[in-house]
Amino acid sequence: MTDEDDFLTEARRNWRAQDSEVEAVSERLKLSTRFGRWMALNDLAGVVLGVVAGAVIIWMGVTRGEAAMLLAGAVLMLVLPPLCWQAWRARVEEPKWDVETSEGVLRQMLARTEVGLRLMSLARWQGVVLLVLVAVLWIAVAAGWVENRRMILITAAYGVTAVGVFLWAWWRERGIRRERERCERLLAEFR
Amino acid sequence: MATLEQVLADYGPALARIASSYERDRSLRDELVQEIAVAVWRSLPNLQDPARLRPFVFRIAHNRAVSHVARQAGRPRQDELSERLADAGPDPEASLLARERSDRLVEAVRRLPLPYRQVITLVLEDLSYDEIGEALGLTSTNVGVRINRARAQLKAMLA
Repeated sequence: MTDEDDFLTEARRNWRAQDSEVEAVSERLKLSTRFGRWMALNDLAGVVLGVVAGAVIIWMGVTRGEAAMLLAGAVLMLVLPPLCWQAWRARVEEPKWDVETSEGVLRQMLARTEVGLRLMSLARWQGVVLLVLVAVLWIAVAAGWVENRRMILITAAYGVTAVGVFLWAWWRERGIRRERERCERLLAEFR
Repeated sequence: MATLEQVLADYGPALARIASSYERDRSLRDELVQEIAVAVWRSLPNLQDPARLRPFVFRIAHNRAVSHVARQAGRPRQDELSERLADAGPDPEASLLARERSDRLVEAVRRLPLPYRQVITLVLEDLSYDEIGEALGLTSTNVGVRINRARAQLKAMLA
C-alpha cells in the first residue's frame, strides 16, 4: 500500500467518524415542504388581494362619486400586485439542482440577486407612490374637496404601508448585496 | 423510481457529512441537509436512469450546499463547543481523540477551495472518478487533476 493510499484510507476513516445523524432532519422534512408551498401561495394571495381590494375601493369610489377613493383604489392595484408577483417569480424560479454545475448555480444566483435588487428598487418607488398619494389626499382635504374623516383611515393605512415597504426594502437590500458579494467570491474560487 | 425515504436511508449520513464540509454550525448543517433533501425530492422525477442515483444525489447536494453558503453570508453563528464536550461517550478519552482527528479533517476540508473541496468529499464518500465527473460536470482527467491537488493541500494542512 502506498503513502497516498494510507493517507486516503485514514482520511476516509476520520471522515466517516463525524456525527452524521439525520433523524431530526427527516422528521422536519414534511413541514418544510408544506411551508415552501405555503410561502409561494402567500405571494400569489398578495396579488389576488391587491387586485380585489383595489377593485372594491374603485367600485366604492365610482358608486359614491368620490375621486379620492378612485385614486386610492387605482394606486393599490398599481402597487401591491406587481410586487407580490415579482416576489412569487423570484421564489419559484429555483436553479435546476440536478442539471446545473455548481458554477452554473452561482451564476444563476448572481443573476437572481440583480433581479432582487431591481425588486427592492421597485418596492421603494412604490413606497414613494404611496407617500405621494397620502400628500395628494391631504391637499384635497385641506382644499375642502374631500371629507376629512374618511381620509384619515385611508391615508394612515397607506402611510404605514409606505414606511413598512421602505424598511423592508432597506433590510432586504443589505442581505441581497451580501449574497451577491459572496456569490462573486465563490465563483472566483472556480477560476 | 426511488423515493425520498429510500434516498435518506441510503445517503442520509453521507449527505450530512457533505453538508458539514460547507457548514460548521450544527443547526445550520441540519437546515442544509433538509434543503438538500427537499431539492432531491423535487428533482427525483427527472432521474432517467435509477442506476445513476448516487451521482445524481451528490450533484444536487453540492449545488444546494453552494447556494446555501452564498445565502448564509453574514448570518450569526452559534457556538457548538458545549455540545461537543458534553457528548463524549462511554470511553471519553478515545472518543475525544477520534473526534479530534475527525474534526481536524473536516476543518481542513472546509478550508479547501470549493472545486477541491467538492472532489475530495466525493472521494471520501467512495465515488469513482466517473461518478465524481458526472456529479460535478467534469471530465475524468479534470477529476484526476483536482483530486491530486486537493489531496496535496489536505495533506499539507494536516501535517
